[in-house]
Amino acid sequence: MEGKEKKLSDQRLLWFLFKNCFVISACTFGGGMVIISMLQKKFVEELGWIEQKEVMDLVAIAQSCPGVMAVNASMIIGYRVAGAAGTLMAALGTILPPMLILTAVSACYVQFRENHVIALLLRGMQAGVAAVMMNVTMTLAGSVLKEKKTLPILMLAGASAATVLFGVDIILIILGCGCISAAMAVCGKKEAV
Amino acid sequence: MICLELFKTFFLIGLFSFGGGMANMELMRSRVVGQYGWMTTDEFTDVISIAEMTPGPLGINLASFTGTRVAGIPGTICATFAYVLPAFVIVMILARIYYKYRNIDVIRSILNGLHPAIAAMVLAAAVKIVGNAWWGGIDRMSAANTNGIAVVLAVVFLVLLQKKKVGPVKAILLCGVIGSVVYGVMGV
Repeated sequence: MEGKEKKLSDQRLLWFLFKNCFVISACTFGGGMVIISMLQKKFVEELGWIEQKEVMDLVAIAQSCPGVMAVNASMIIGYRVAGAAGTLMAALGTILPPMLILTAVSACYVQFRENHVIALLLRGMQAGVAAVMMNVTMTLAGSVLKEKKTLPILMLAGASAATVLFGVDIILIILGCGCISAAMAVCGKKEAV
Repeated sequence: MICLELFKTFFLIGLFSFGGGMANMELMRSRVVGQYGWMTTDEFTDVISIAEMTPGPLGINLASFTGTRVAGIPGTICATFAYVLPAFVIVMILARIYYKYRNIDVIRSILNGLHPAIAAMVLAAAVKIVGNAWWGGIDRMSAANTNGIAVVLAVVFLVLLQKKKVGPVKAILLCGVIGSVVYGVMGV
Protein backbone atom coordinates (compact mmCIF):
# COMPACT_ATOMS: atom_id res chain seq x y z
CA MET A 1 0.00 0.00 0.00
CA GLU A 2 2.92 2.37 -0.45
CA GLY A 3 2.91 5.07 -3.07
CA LYS A 4 1.49 8.50 -3.51
CA GLU A 5 -1.47 8.04 -1.21
CA LYS A 6 0.84 7.67 1.79
CA LYS A 7 1.20 11.40 2.29
CA LEU A 8 -0.28 11.35 5.77
CA SER A 9 1.35 9.58 8.68
CA ASP A 10 -0.20 6.22 9.61
CA GLN A 11 -2.10 7.42 12.65
CA ARG A 12 -3.42 10.49 10.94
CA LEU A 13 -4.41 8.39 7.94
CA LEU A 14 -6.46 6.04 10.12
CA TRP A 15 -8.13 8.95 11.92
CA PHE A 16 -8.87 10.54 8.56
CA LEU A 17 -10.47 7.31 7.32
CA PHE A 18 -12.57 7.00 10.46
CA LYS A 19 -13.69 10.63 10.32
CA ASN A 20 -14.72 10.49 6.68
CA CYS A 21 -16.61 7.22 7.04
CA PHE A 22 -18.32 8.55 10.18
CA VAL A 23 -19.51 11.74 8.47
CA ILE A 24 -20.68 9.95 5.33
CA SER A 25 -22.57 7.33 7.33
CA ALA A 26 -24.14 9.90 9.68
CA CYS A 27 -25.42 12.05 6.81
CA THR A 28 -26.61 9.40 4.39
CA PHE A 29 -30.22 8.36 4.27
CA GLY A 30 -31.27 5.34 2.27
CA GLY A 31 -28.14 3.22 2.59
CA GLY A 32 -26.74 0.93 -0.10
CA MET A 33 -25.98 2.60 -3.38
CA VAL A 34 -26.40 6.08 -1.89
CA ILE A 35 -23.46 5.52 0.47
CA ILE A 36 -21.42 4.01 -2.37
CA SER A 37 -21.89 7.15 -4.44
CA MET A 38 -20.85 9.31 -1.46
CA LEU A 39 -17.71 7.20 -0.92
CA GLN A 40 -16.98 7.42 -4.63
CA LYS A 41 -17.24 11.22 -4.56
CA LYS A 42 -14.92 11.47 -1.57
CA PHE A 43 -12.24 8.88 -2.25
CA VAL A 44 -12.16 8.86 -6.05
CA GLU A 45 -13.10 12.36 -7.18
CA GLU A 46 -11.88 14.44 -4.23
CA LEU A 47 -8.86 12.53 -2.94
CA GLY A 48 -7.92 10.47 -5.97
CA TRP A 49 -6.87 7.56 -3.76
CA ILE A 50 -8.82 5.05 -5.79
CA GLU A 51 -9.22 4.78 -9.55
CA GLN A 52 -12.61 5.07 -11.18
CA LYS A 53 -12.45 1.62 -12.82
CA GLU A 54 -11.46 0.09 -9.49
CA VAL A 55 -14.74 1.26 -7.99
CA MET A 56 -16.85 -1.17 -10.03
CA ASP A 57 -14.72 -4.05 -8.80
CA LEU A 58 -14.96 -2.80 -5.23
CA VAL A 59 -18.75 -2.71 -5.52
CA ALA A 60 -18.70 -6.24 -6.95
CA ILE A 61 -16.62 -7.47 -4.01
CA ALA A 62 -18.86 -5.60 -1.56
CA GLN A 63 -21.91 -7.27 -3.08
CA SER A 64 -20.21 -10.66 -3.13
CA CYS A 65 -19.67 -10.55 0.62
CA PRO A 66 -22.57 -11.15 2.96
CA GLY A 67 -23.69 -8.33 5.23
CA VAL A 68 -24.37 -4.67 4.59
CA MET A 69 -23.02 -3.53 1.25
CA ALA A 70 -22.29 0.03 2.39
CA VAL A 71 -20.22 -1.21 5.33
CA ASN A 72 -18.46 -3.72 3.09
CA ALA A 73 -17.60 -1.02 0.55
CA SER A 74 -16.09 1.28 3.16
CA MET A 75 -14.15 -1.65 4.65
CA ILE A 76 -12.64 -2.43 1.24
CA ILE A 77 -11.65 1.21 0.81
CA GLY A 78 -10.13 1.07 4.30
CA TYR A 79 -8.21 -2.07 3.34
CA ARG A 80 -7.00 -0.49 0.11
CA VAL A 81 -5.79 2.65 1.88
CA ALA A 82 -4.33 1.24 5.09
CA GLY A 83 -4.57 -2.57 5.29
CA ALA A 84 -6.22 -4.41 8.18
CA ALA A 85 -6.14 -1.43 10.55
CA GLY A 86 -7.79 0.65 7.85
CA THR A 87 -10.52 -1.96 7.44
CA LEU A 88 -11.25 -1.78 11.15
CA MET A 89 -11.34 2.02 11.29
CA ALA A 90 -13.57 2.28 8.23
CA ALA A 91 -15.94 -0.31 9.70
CA LEU A 92 -16.14 1.47 13.05
CA GLY A 93 -16.67 4.84 11.40
CA THR A 94 -19.51 3.52 9.28
CA ILE A 95 -21.24 1.54 12.04
CA LEU A 96 -21.06 3.99 14.94
CA PRO A 97 -23.45 6.75 13.76
CA PRO A 98 -26.46 4.50 13.04
CA MET A 99 -25.68 2.48 16.17
CA LEU A 100 -25.78 5.56 18.42
CA ILE A 101 -28.89 6.99 16.79
CA LEU A 102 -30.85 3.74 16.90
CA THR A 103 -29.87 3.08 20.50
CA ALA A 104 -31.40 6.42 21.45
CA VAL A 105 -34.52 5.80 19.35
CA SER A 106 -34.89 2.28 20.72
CA ALA A 107 -34.60 3.47 24.32
CA CYS A 108 -37.50 5.89 23.76
CA TYR A 109 -39.55 3.54 21.59
CA VAL A 110 -42.25 2.73 24.16
CA GLN A 111 -42.95 6.39 25.03
CA PHE A 112 -42.68 7.18 21.34
CA ARG A 113 -45.20 4.46 20.42
CA GLU A 114 -47.71 5.50 23.13
CA ASN A 115 -48.01 9.04 21.78
CA HIS A 116 -51.37 9.10 19.99
CA VAL A 117 -50.22 11.11 16.96
CA ILE A 118 -47.08 9.04 16.46
CA ALA A 119 -49.06 5.81 16.83
CA LEU A 120 -51.36 6.97 14.04
CA LEU A 121 -48.40 8.00 11.91
CA LEU A 122 -46.69 4.63 12.40
CA ARG A 123 -49.96 2.88 11.55
CA GLY A 124 -50.20 4.90 8.36
CA MET A 125 -46.61 4.06 7.52
CA GLN A 126 -47.32 0.33 7.75
CA ALA A 127 -49.17 0.59 4.45
CA GLY A 128 -46.20 2.49 3.01
CA VAL A 129 -43.78 -0.24 4.09
CA ALA A 130 -46.14 -2.81 2.57
CA ALA A 131 -46.05 -0.87 -0.72
CA VAL A 132 -42.24 -0.68 -0.65
CA MET A 133 -42.00 -4.43 0.01
CA MET A 134 -44.31 -5.23 -2.89
CA ASN A 135 -42.32 -2.88 -5.11
CA VAL A 136 -38.97 -4.48 -4.21
CA THR A 137 -40.42 -7.98 -4.67
CA MET A 138 -41.68 -7.11 -8.14
CA THR A 139 -38.35 -5.56 -9.14
CA LEU A 140 -36.23 -8.49 -7.91
CA ALA A 141 -38.51 -11.26 -9.13
CA GLY A 142 -38.91 -9.34 -12.40
CA SER A 143 -35.15 -9.22 -12.95
CA VAL A 144 -34.95 -13.00 -12.51
CA LEU A 145 -37.91 -13.59 -14.86
CA LYS A 146 -36.59 -11.16 -17.48
CA GLU A 147 -33.50 -13.27 -18.07
CA LYS A 148 -35.84 -15.92 -19.49
CA LYS A 149 -33.66 -18.81 -18.36
CA THR A 150 -35.34 -21.96 -17.15
CA LEU A 151 -33.19 -22.82 -14.17
CA PRO A 152 -33.33 -19.48 -12.31
CA ILE A 153 -37.08 -19.28 -12.87
CA LEU A 154 -37.54 -22.81 -11.53
CA MET A 155 -35.31 -21.93 -8.59
CA LEU A 156 -37.35 -18.80 -7.92
CA ALA A 157 -40.61 -20.76 -7.99
CA GLY A 158 -39.21 -23.53 -5.83
CA ALA A 159 -37.64 -21.17 -3.31
CA SER A 160 -40.78 -19.05 -3.07
CA ALA A 161 -43.01 -22.07 -2.51
CA ALA A 162 -40.61 -23.51 0.04
CA THR A 163 -40.44 -20.38 2.16
CA VAL A 164 -43.97 -18.97 1.81
CA LEU A 165 -46.00 -22.20 1.82
CA PHE A 166 -43.84 -24.65 3.75
CA GLY A 167 -41.89 -22.30 6.01
CA VAL A 168 -38.49 -23.73 5.07
CA ASP A 169 -35.63 -21.85 6.75
CA ILE A 170 -34.18 -19.06 4.58
CA ILE A 171 -30.62 -20.12 5.34
CA LEU A 172 -31.28 -23.57 3.88
CA ILE A 173 -32.74 -21.97 0.75
CA ILE A 174 -29.70 -19.73 0.28
CA LEU A 175 -27.36 -22.68 0.78
CA GLY A 176 -29.40 -24.76 -1.67
CA CYS A 177 -29.40 -22.12 -4.40
CA GLY A 178 -25.71 -21.46 -3.74
CA CYS A 179 -24.87 -25.16 -4.18
CA ILE A 180 -26.89 -25.43 -7.39
CA SER A 181 -25.26 -22.37 -8.95
CA ALA A 182 -21.80 -23.42 -7.76
CA ALA A 183 -22.32 -26.80 -9.40
CA MET A 184 -23.44 -25.11 -12.61
CA ALA A 185 -20.47 -22.73 -12.56
CA VAL A 186 -18.01 -25.54 -12.02
CA CYS A 187 -19.57 -27.57 -14.84
CA GLY A 188 -18.88 -24.60 -17.13
CA LYS A 189 -22.54 -23.97 -17.74
CA LYS A 190 -22.27 -20.35 -16.72
CA GLU A 191 -24.91 -19.27 -19.19
CA ALA A 192 -27.50 -21.19 -17.19
CA VAL A 193 -26.70 -19.42 -13.94
CA MET B 1 -26.87 -15.02 28.37
CA ILE B 2 -29.32 -13.04 26.30
CA CYS B 3 -26.31 -11.19 24.87
CA LEU B 4 -24.75 -14.47 23.77
CA GLU B 5 -28.04 -15.39 22.12
CA LEU B 6 -28.10 -12.00 20.37
CA PHE B 7 -24.50 -12.40 19.26
CA LYS B 8 -25.14 -15.86 17.85
CA THR B 9 -28.31 -14.82 16.06
CA PHE B 10 -26.92 -11.69 14.46
CA PHE B 11 -23.65 -13.38 13.50
CA LEU B 12 -25.72 -15.92 11.58
CA ILE B 13 -27.91 -13.20 10.04
CA GLY B 14 -24.77 -11.28 9.03
CA LEU B 15 -23.23 -14.38 7.49
CA PHE B 16 -26.27 -15.14 5.35
CA SER B 17 -27.33 -11.62 4.38
CA PHE B 18 -26.96 -11.29 0.63
CA GLY B 19 -28.50 -8.64 -1.60
CA GLY B 20 -28.59 -5.87 0.98
CA GLY B 21 -31.26 -3.81 2.72
CA MET B 22 -34.82 -4.93 2.11
CA ALA B 23 -33.69 -8.28 0.71
CA ASN B 24 -32.65 -9.46 4.16
CA MET B 25 -35.78 -8.42 6.00
CA GLU B 26 -37.18 -11.93 5.95
CA LEU B 27 -34.04 -13.51 7.40
CA MET B 28 -34.05 -10.91 10.16
CA ARG B 29 -37.81 -11.22 10.71
CA SER B 30 -37.77 -15.01 10.83
CA ARG B 31 -35.21 -14.91 13.65
CA VAL B 32 -36.21 -11.80 15.61
CA VAL B 33 -40.01 -12.20 15.37
CA GLY B 34 -40.50 -15.87 14.55
CA GLN B 35 -37.83 -17.84 16.38
CA TYR B 36 -37.15 -15.74 19.47
CA GLY B 37 -40.24 -13.55 19.76
CA TRP B 38 -38.13 -10.53 20.62
CA MET B 39 -40.61 -8.35 18.72
CA THR B 40 -44.07 -8.55 17.17
CA THR B 41 -44.60 -8.13 13.41
CA ASP B 42 -46.17 -4.73 14.16
CA GLU B 43 -43.09 -3.60 16.04
CA PHE B 44 -40.87 -4.99 13.30
CA THR B 45 -42.72 -2.95 10.66
CA ASP B 46 -42.37 0.15 12.89
CA VAL B 47 -38.65 -0.47 13.07
CA ILE B 48 -38.38 -0.61 9.28
CA SER B 49 -40.20 2.76 9.12
CA ILE B 50 -37.91 4.23 11.80
CA ALA B 51 -34.78 2.71 10.26
CA GLU B 52 -35.67 4.18 6.86
CA MET B 53 -36.04 7.63 8.42
CA THR B 54 -32.70 7.59 10.25
CA PRO B 55 -29.34 7.77 8.49
CA GLY B 56 -27.15 4.72 7.99
CA PRO B 57 -27.68 1.31 6.40
CA LEU B 58 -30.96 -0.45 7.15
CA GLY B 59 -29.38 -3.67 8.42
CA ILE B 60 -27.19 -1.89 10.98
CA ASN B 61 -30.18 0.15 12.14
CA LEU B 62 -32.27 -2.99 12.67
CA ALA B 63 -29.49 -4.82 14.50
CA SER B 64 -28.86 -1.86 16.82
CA PHE B 65 -32.55 -1.31 17.50
CA THR B 66 -33.22 -4.97 18.24
CA GLY B 67 -30.15 -5.26 20.46
CA THR B 68 -31.16 -2.26 22.56
CA ARG B 69 -34.77 -3.43 22.85
CA VAL B 70 -33.74 -6.89 24.00
CA ALA B 71 -30.80 -6.16 26.31
CA GLY B 72 -29.97 -2.46 26.56
CA ILE B 73 -26.58 -1.04 25.60
CA PRO B 74 -24.69 -4.37 25.92
CA GLY B 75 -27.32 -5.84 23.61
CA THR B 76 -26.73 -3.11 21.03
CA ILE B 77 -23.00 -3.74 21.03
CA CYS B 78 -23.39 -7.53 20.77
CA ALA B 79 -26.00 -7.43 18.01
CA THR B 80 -24.34 -4.77 15.87
CA PHE B 81 -20.79 -6.10 16.06
CA ALA B 82 -21.90 -9.70 15.60
CA TYR B 83 -23.84 -8.59 12.53
CA VAL B 84 -20.78 -7.00 10.89
CA LEU B 85 -18.15 -9.52 12.02
CA PRO B 86 -18.64 -12.16 9.26
CA ALA B 87 -18.47 -9.48 6.56
CA PHE B 88 -15.36 -7.99 8.18
CA VAL B 89 -13.49 -11.28 7.90
CA ILE B 90 -14.77 -12.17 4.43
CA VAL B 91 -14.14 -8.68 3.01
CA MET B 92 -10.52 -8.81 4.17
CA ILE B 93 -9.99 -12.21 2.58
CA LEU B 94 -11.68 -11.25 -0.71
CA ALA B 95 -9.93 -7.87 -0.87
CA ARG B 96 -6.61 -9.68 -0.46
CA ILE B 97 -7.47 -12.12 -3.21
CA TYR B 98 -8.73 -9.31 -5.42
CA TYR B 99 -5.55 -7.26 -5.17
CA LYS B 100 -3.53 -10.40 -5.82
CA TYR B 101 -5.49 -11.79 -8.76
CA ARG B 102 -8.05 -9.13 -9.68
CA ASN B 103 -10.33 -11.82 -10.98
CA ILE B 104 -13.39 -12.98 -9.14
CA ASP B 105 -15.56 -14.09 -12.06
CA VAL B 106 -16.28 -17.54 -10.62
CA ILE B 107 -17.38 -16.10 -7.27
CA ARG B 108 -19.48 -13.56 -9.14
CA SER B 109 -21.26 -16.21 -11.22
CA ILE B 110 -21.97 -18.33 -8.14
CA LEU B 111 -23.43 -15.28 -6.44
CA ASN B 112 -25.57 -14.49 -9.46
CA GLY B 113 -27.15 -17.87 -8.79
CA LEU B 114 -28.36 -16.59 -5.44
CA HIS B 115 -30.68 -14.07 -7.11
CA PRO B 116 -33.69 -16.43 -7.16
CA ALA B 117 -33.23 -17.19 -3.45
CA ILE B 118 -33.01 -13.50 -2.63
CA ALA B 119 -36.11 -12.70 -4.67
CA ALA B 120 -37.96 -15.50 -2.87
CA MET B 121 -36.84 -14.13 0.49
CA VAL B 122 -38.16 -10.68 -0.29
CA LEU B 123 -41.41 -12.21 -1.46
CA ALA B 124 -41.78 -14.05 1.84
CA ALA B 125 -41.17 -10.85 3.83
CA ALA B 126 -43.63 -8.96 1.63
CA VAL B 127 -46.33 -11.58 2.25
CA LYS B 128 -45.91 -11.22 6.02
CA ILE B 129 -45.75 -7.43 6.08
CA VAL B 130 -48.58 -6.87 3.60
CA GLY B 131 -50.69 -9.43 5.46
CA ASN B 132 -50.08 -7.60 8.68
CA ALA B 133 -50.96 -4.19 7.24
CA TRP B 134 -54.10 -5.38 5.46
CA TRP B 135 -55.58 -8.03 7.76
CA GLY B 136 -53.61 -7.76 11.00
CA GLY B 137 -51.74 -10.94 10.08
CA ILE B 138 -51.70 -13.15 6.98
CA ASP B 139 -53.38 -16.04 8.85
CA ARG B 140 -56.39 -13.81 9.58
CA MET B 141 -57.02 -13.06 5.92
CA SER B 142 -60.75 -12.56 5.27
CA ALA B 143 -62.99 -9.97 3.61
CA ALA B 144 -64.49 -8.84 6.94
CA ASN B 145 -61.07 -8.37 8.47
CA THR B 146 -59.68 -6.22 5.69
CA ASN B 147 -58.32 -2.78 6.56
CA GLY B 148 -59.60 -0.97 3.45
CA ILE B 149 -57.64 2.20 4.13
CA ALA B 150 -54.36 0.28 4.27
CA VAL B 151 -55.21 -1.60 1.06
CA VAL B 152 -55.97 1.62 -0.85
CA LEU B 153 -52.89 3.40 0.53
CA ALA B 154 -50.57 0.50 -0.23
CA VAL B 155 -51.87 0.08 -3.79
CA VAL B 156 -51.68 3.82 -4.52
CA PHE B 157 -48.13 4.02 -3.21
CA LEU B 158 -47.13 0.85 -5.03
CA VAL B 159 -48.18 2.54 -8.29
CA LEU B 160 -46.30 5.72 -7.28
CA LEU B 161 -43.14 3.72 -6.48
CA GLN B 162 -43.44 1.74 -9.69
CA LYS B 163 -44.41 4.44 -12.19
CA LYS B 164 -43.37 7.77 -10.71
CA LYS B 165 -40.07 6.59 -9.23
CA VAL B 166 -40.88 8.08 -5.81
CA GLY B 167 -38.13 7.15 -3.32
CA PRO B 168 -38.99 4.61 -0.59
CA VAL B 169 -38.32 7.03 2.27
CA LYS B 170 -40.60 9.66 0.77
CA ALA B 171 -43.27 7.05 0.06
CA ILE B 172 -43.27 5.68 3.62
CA LEU B 173 -43.34 9.16 5.19
CA LEU B 174 -46.06 10.46 2.89
CA CYS B 175 -48.09 7.32 3.47
CA GLY B 176 -47.71 7.85 7.21
CA VAL B 177 -48.96 11.42 7.04
CA ILE B 178 -51.94 10.63 4.80
CA GLY B 179 -52.72 7.46 6.74
CA SER B 180 -52.64 9.15 10.14
CA VAL B 181 -54.97 11.91 8.93
CA VAL B 182 -57.43 9.39 7.47
CA TYR B 183 -57.30 7.12 10.53
CA GLY B 184 -57.65 10.18 12.80
CA VAL B 185 -60.62 11.68 10.92
CA MET B 186 -62.47 8.36 10.66
CA GLY B 187 -61.71 7.54 14.27
CA VAL B 188 -60.52 3.99 13.60
